[in-house]
Amino acid sequence: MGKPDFQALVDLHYEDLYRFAFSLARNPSDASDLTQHAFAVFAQKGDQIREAARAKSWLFTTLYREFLRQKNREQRSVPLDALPPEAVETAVEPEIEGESDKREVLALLASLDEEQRAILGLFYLKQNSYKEIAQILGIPMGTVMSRISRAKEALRKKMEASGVWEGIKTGADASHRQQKD
Amino acid sequence: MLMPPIDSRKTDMDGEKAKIILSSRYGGQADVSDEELCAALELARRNAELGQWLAEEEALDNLMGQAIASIQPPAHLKSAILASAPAAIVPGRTRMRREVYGFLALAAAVTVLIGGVVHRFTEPGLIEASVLTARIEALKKELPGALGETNPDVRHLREWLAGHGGVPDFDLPSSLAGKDTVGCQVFSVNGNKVTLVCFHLDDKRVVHYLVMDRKRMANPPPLGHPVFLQENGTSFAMWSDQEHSYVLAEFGDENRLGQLL
Repeated sequence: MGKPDFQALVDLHYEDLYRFAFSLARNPSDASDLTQHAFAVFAQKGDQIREAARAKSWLFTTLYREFLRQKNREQRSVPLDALPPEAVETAVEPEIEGESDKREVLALLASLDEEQRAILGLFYLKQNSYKEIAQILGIPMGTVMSRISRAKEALRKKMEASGVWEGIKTGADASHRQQKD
Repeated sequence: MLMPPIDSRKTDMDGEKAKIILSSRYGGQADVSDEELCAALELARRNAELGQWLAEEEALDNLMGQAIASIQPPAHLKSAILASAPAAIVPGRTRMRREVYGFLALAAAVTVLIGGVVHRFTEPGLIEASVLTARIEALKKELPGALGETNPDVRHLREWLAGHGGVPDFDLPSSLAGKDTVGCQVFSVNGNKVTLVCFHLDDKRVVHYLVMDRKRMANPPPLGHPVFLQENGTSFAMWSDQEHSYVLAEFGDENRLGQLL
């Protein structure tokens, strides 16, 4: 595979990078900034990447590292985690297509801790293999598996507490009955 | 689903282990080369409780996958990313090598004009004036598509900028106050946000106004009074106040730009 073409990479990956960034940052402005930053760094250093196939992981890794760097710098005068729940709810307003249940589950995802948001954000994008997720987050493959499992369990508990789980369970019951029949 | 004939009764697979494997590895697609996964699926087929749990897990995966996919980036993001990239790497905006050298020469000129220091260690991550001038040059071919919001009212643009990480409370030269705007954009230079607002003047001229945090400039323009540059037919005026640095640019005559300040 040849060297990556910048515009083609933007076309292919900017939406998923934004989605991952939104999972981390929980607000559209910071998500946009993180996405732009990843491509800006690529524009400067991308010629070091010889194959387009590696560019995707590189972009996700760069975005994640920038998120961690910003978090460590604690530039925000009031961290989002310190805001009251109603303020966080206001901050989580991405442009979302479709029904309100998606908005609701995204708000629950946003209420998980950062490590869980990162792993589930990558897992549910579906285009990242476990090996890629491990590379992006800088953790072993086995840790990827266990973190996904724990994060999904935490999400499930949030859904149970909020009442969202009942709807999922009802749909799953019907589907399971159909499969058995 | 086709699976190899693996009997979970002959493995050490139990419900809890199966849950961990299915939760982290399944995702709706079975990898038939993964024996543990196939054994866990086989156990879920025989064990009603685990089967119900798996159905719920699949429903959760489907909903979350759809929810994540439904997050839509802001309409302006793609153009902002492309606008932030050096012209040389975006197809259709390729510059001749001599023009790259031209920008390097311009960077040196800016350093001399603004700071009076030719050799200066520049902190990584700061905004180089040469990058800004290159970006404005690239706008020649991109406008108006590169704008995130278009509206003739600067008050509307200030609101848009406030919601998109830009500088909404920028000062304006008196000559631009009350003029119609074309639109605005927020783009990133070395990780720093730069606000662009384009103004329509009475005689159909368009000028481009950039605002950024003065502390993020590698060589901030002087406080209070502008310096002027001209490169490849584009005129630039740059100055700072205590908080921000400003660039006013027009594709054309430097003298005309000076009359606005």
